[in-house]
Order: sequence, then structure tokens, then C-alpha cells
Amino acid sequence: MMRDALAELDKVVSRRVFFDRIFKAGALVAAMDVIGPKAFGALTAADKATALAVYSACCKLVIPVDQDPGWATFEPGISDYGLNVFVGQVALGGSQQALDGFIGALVAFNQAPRTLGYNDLFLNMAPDAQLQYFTTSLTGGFEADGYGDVLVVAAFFCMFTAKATFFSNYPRHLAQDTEFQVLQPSSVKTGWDIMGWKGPVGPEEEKALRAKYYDAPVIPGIDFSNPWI
Amino acid sequence: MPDTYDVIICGAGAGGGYLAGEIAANGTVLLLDAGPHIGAGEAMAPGIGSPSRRKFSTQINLGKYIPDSKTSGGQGNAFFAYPIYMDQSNPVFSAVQREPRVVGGGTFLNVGAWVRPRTVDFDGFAEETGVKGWSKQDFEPFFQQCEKTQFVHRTPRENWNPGSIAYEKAANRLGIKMYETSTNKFHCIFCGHRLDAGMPCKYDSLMGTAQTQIPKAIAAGATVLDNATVVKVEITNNKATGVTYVRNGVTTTATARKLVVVAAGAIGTPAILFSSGVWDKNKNVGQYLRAHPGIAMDALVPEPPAGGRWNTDRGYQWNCYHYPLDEKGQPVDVIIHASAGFPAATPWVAAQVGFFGQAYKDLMRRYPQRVGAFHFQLKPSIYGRVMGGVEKPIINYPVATVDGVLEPKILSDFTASIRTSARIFKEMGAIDMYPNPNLSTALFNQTITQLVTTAGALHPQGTCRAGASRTNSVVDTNCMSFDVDNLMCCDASVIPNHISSNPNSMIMAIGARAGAFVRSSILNTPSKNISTDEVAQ
Repeated sequence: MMRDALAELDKVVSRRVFFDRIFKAGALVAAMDVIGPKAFGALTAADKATALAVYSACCKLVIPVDQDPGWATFEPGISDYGLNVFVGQVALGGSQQALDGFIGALVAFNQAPRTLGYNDLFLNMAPDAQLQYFTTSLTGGFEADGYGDVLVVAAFFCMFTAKATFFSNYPRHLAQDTEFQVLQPSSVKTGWDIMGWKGPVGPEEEKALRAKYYDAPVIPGIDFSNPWI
Repeated sequence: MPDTYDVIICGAGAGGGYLAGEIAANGTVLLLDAGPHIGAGEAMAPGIGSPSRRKFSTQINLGKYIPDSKTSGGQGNAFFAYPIYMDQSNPVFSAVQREPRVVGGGTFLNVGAWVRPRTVDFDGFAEETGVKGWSKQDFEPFFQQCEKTQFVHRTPRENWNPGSIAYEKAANRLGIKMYETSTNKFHCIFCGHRLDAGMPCKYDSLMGTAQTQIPKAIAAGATVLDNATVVKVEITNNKATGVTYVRNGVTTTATARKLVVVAAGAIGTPAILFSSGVWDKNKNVGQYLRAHPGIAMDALVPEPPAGGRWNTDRGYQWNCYHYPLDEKGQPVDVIIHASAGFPAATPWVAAQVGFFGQAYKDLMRRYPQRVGAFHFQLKPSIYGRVMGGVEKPIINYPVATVDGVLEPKILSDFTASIRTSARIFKEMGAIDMYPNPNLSTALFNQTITQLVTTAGALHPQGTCRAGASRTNSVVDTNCMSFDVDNLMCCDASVIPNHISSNPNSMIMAIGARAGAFVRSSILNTPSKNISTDEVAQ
């Protein structure tokens, strides 16, 4: 109970300061309308669907399809994985509260263009306009409008996790249940294929490495030439 | 199985695991850990390993790394994951602080860079809390002892990765002094593990407490219970009398005749003490959190050295490190680990390159092999705080203020360190790097702030710190509680003030030192007098 009380106290105090800052930026009413309920966890199923669509749209901007596959090529599974597994579990440690906060930010990211001169929802905008809005959000361009934090978080996390997910070798990112990480044969060209990475060491390569380095000479102890230790 | 022991240790990581090995021959010991005991009962020859440990290390990638996810098959139990709030300007967002949940703790998983604290750190202990007996001289024999038990050594340059060699040469040309990174490994195959998200040594070369001290404790008769989550320390008449834990759904209370040691790490230990009511007696529990914000730096260097590859796609080796120096020639509070593999081999770091869209994708294709360095800022001018009990602790570490501005010392120190690394990368022929100090100040600052606040802070310490008085500390010079008899803390939480290194070596030295104290003053058995000369032999 003590934990809950302290946590709640901290959040209330912090949010008060947060909204005070937004007030100074002159957009309190709009911001409360957009993110207020979301920040306190009143998310609906529609919000979650919207958030997934926004996340997917942003990730398509981040990893486009060209001669190699991109985010759209791996749809729909990659967006669900990116948002609910990579963001929710890996980046946010399985904290539902934190994930709800991010989903709220994505919903706000979709709605904010209406009050920022675009006159439409992000999801309804043309790709070029989406790209401009996404870039401006990412670089903090809407800071003076009172949306800075929310939009930066939404855009930055979309960008970061899209790249991390794609170059984690999705959809062949999970090790098989063996001593060596076995990759299943697949015709899908992954981020690793694009990078030309060799992938996990197999039994034969490990055998060669062991033969080369087993009992390799070492220098005992630490480096005392460091005068600061 | 008995339910009464001389000593019960909660946590089998660097501190508790080391301590168990030091005292098990002198009394009955129960060692509890919330995670699995991988390779228990199997022969664990370093460099050869146990099949189950090799399998586990291989599997610590994105799938089973994830707690309770739909893709983890319920096996994602190797980490605790705590929310950490770092940006006060955005209270709806937290990063995650991930702490190992396995017998051996961080020493079982993390690639073994063994770096000692700086001399100034020991001076800072007394300045911060008035603690006595924590000087460099006091700890020297214990560091030497640990370095012997953990097979700490350096690697000859012929087995360094090409990126580290090139980095050192470039630094030397600029007059920047590099130091060789020590490591606690044995029979290492330099380096074949494939990094996805975790950092285990697949090839069993890592020497941690699970390979050294805990087997020693078991051989001496200690009982190790894995998958045992400590609920609370039992306290009666202001005296620690036992530990209640949950294992396989069964709640059990074990009795400690002489001592309860909480060694669950800088997050877990205050959480257990919260749940045990110690915070009611001492409000310093959970306070004074220190940690090291970390940033990976990624550089595009078109020409790999002779041989054609940086070895960037096969894990990382930290072969050398340095400190950026200020205008007076003194180290700035950042340690820089040169690395070939880390920046390019993990999606995390590839992801932080500041481009997106077609430009980013083209860049990844054009420069699949990159070099980099990892920067830890060592002494932020802030205190964080751990709140809550064992069920769901949360962490506040407000590196960014309510105005969204990064704490000034973190920003200035990182600016200095990134500029130093940038000079070295440029000397190596880099055409670009990320973060890039040549960005406008505003954009550079924003970049650093984003990276720091979303990446979390590593090496938490100081949350039940040692000091001279209960007015500013939780434990005394011997890591014994000021407020509860027969209660000790033995992990990173007792570090009185932040240290300038990866904490592995410091925590083990604390465990070794605590072992000497427990043998002589708690178990009342002759304490082995560890002299520097003896250890050196």
C-alpha cells in the first residue's frame, strides 16, 4: 500500500507540473482533451486499434519497401509484434501502465494534426503529409504548441523500435530450442540478410574457433598503468 | 531439508553468491534466488560448460528474454523488469530497468568486463556518508582475492578484435592514453556469440559466482534453492530471525539463527526491506539511488583494417577503455569502452542511428560493418529513489527535469566524451558517427536526452548505502543494519556513493569483505587473514 501511495503521489505531483508546463504553452484545454484521459489509463479497444494503426503507419515511414522488403512487407504481424512485444515487453518491461501511456501518446499523435494546421487525422493524411508531420514531431517542432513531449515520445519510439525490430532479424528473430540458434530456412529476406550479417555461429565454426583459441595465452591481472585506479 | 540455518542469504548474484562461497564452510547456509539454477548438478568446466547452460545462454535472445509475453512461452523469467521514470517532463512514459533473475545474477549473464573503481571513488565514500573502513587500501586485498578467484586477466593484442586495435592506435596517435580492459573469462573463443538483445557468453567462458563461489558453497554443504522468491525478512523484537519465500507456489519461512543477508541488488534489496518493514525504521531505505546513464556511439568507417572485417557481426569484445580528460588533464566522469561489435551487432544500436526512411535503409546496406564505443556517465549530480515492495517496485531516476532538460553534468560529461571519441573515430577515417558532436547544439542535446531517457540507467547502486550513521545511511561499515539486529545487506545497494566503473568488481569485493566479517564476528570462526602478498602468490 505504501508503494501505491508513493507512486500515486509522485505521479500526481509530476503530472501537475507537466500540465502546468502545457498550460504555459497555451494549449491546456486541447491537451487535456487529447491526452488527459489516456494518461490516466482510460483506454478503449478503439484506442488500442487506432494506436496499432498509427504505429504501423509510422513504421512504414521508417522502414520503406524498396528493392528489399520493408515494414509493409511483413505486415500485419510485425506491427503487432513491434508494439505489443518489442515496445511493451522489451522496451517498457511489461509495464501495462507504461504501455498505456505510449498508446495514449499514439492516439494523441493521430488526433493532434487537427489542431496543428493539418486539419485531419494522421491516419487520413497523404503519405507525404504524414512524413512531414512525423519529421516535425520527431525534431520537437511542435514544442511551442504544447504537444512537444507527447509527440516526440510517440515519434521517437516508433522510429527506434521499428528499426530495432526490423534489424533484429524479424521474422526469424527467435532462437529455436537448441544449443545453437538455428534459423529456419525461409525465402523471406530479413534485416540481417540486407546487412549481410553471417548470423549465429554453427557447430562447425564453433569447433574451429575452439581449436584456435582454446588455452590461448592471457595476461594475468588488471592493467595497473591506469593511474586513476 | 532443514528449516533452520546459521545464515540465510537472499540473492545469489555477485554479492550474495560470493559471500556464500566465503562462509559456507564455517556454518550452515541457505542461499535463495528467485531465478533458475542453470546447470545445477552438472560439471561446469569453464570454456566447456554444461549443456543446459550453453542452451540457456543461446536462448537468451529476444524471445525468452521477454517476461510473460505471448512469444516467450512462459519461460521469460531470466530478468526482473522494473519501470524506471527518468523524464519528469513526461510522466506518462517510463523506460525499463532490467535486472538478472538467475542464480549467479549479473555475473551469469553479462559479458565480463572487469574494471576497478577509481581512487577518487573511495575518497568519495567517506565524504558522502562518513563511512569508515572503505578506503582503497581497505579494499585492495579483497579486489585481489576476487581477481584471483574469477580468473581476471587481459587478452594479448593478437586476439583483440580489429576495431579495438584500430581505436587504440588512433587514440595513441592523438596522445590519448588507453588502458587494457580486464575480463573474468576462461577459455574464451574470442568471440563467437551472436547478440540479439541479451549479452550472455554462450561459450561458458564467463567466470561468475555461479561458476566459482556457489559451487564452492555447495561443496561445503550450503543449500541452494532456486526459483525461490523472497517475500520478506522476518523481524521479531527488532531482530532478523528468518526469511519467508515462495517456491513452486508454496510459501515457506526458514529460520536464521545468526544472520539474514539481503543481497538482491540495488533494486531488489530495498524492495525486500520495504516489504519487511525496515523502511518504517529507517527512511533512507531506497533513497540515494545512483546509476550510470549509458550511450552507445556508432561510427561509419569505410575502410576496415587488413583482413577486411571489423568482426562487428559476431558479438563484441571490450578490449580497451579510456577516460576523456578535462583541460587540467583530469578524467571527466565518463568511461569509454572501445568496441567493434556492440554498435553494429545489436539492433538496439543500429536503431539509434538518427536517420529513418530510405536514407536509413540505404545506410544500413552500405555500411553493414561499423565500429563504435560505449559511454557510461559515472556520476550524475542527482539522486534517484526506489519505491515499493517486492511485488512491484518502481524507480525514479529523474535525469531530465520537468522542463525536459537533461541534468547539466550528464550532458556536459557526455558532450566531452563524445567529442573525444569523435576525434578518435575521425582519426580512424570515419565519415560520420552517431551521436555526432558536429550537430547544432540544440539538436545534439536533444539527441543525448532522448537516448538517455529511453535507454534507462545501468549499474544501480547506493539504495541501502553504508555510512557512519543511520541518519544518512542504512547499514554500517560492515554492511550490518543500523536498525535491525542480525540483518546485513551485501550487494550494490550498500555502495556509499557512485563508483566510476562497471560495478561487478566492487560488488564481489564487498562480498569478499563481508565474508571475512561474517566468519570472524558472526560465525565466530577464525577469519582467514587475506594479505596482499598471499593473494598475489
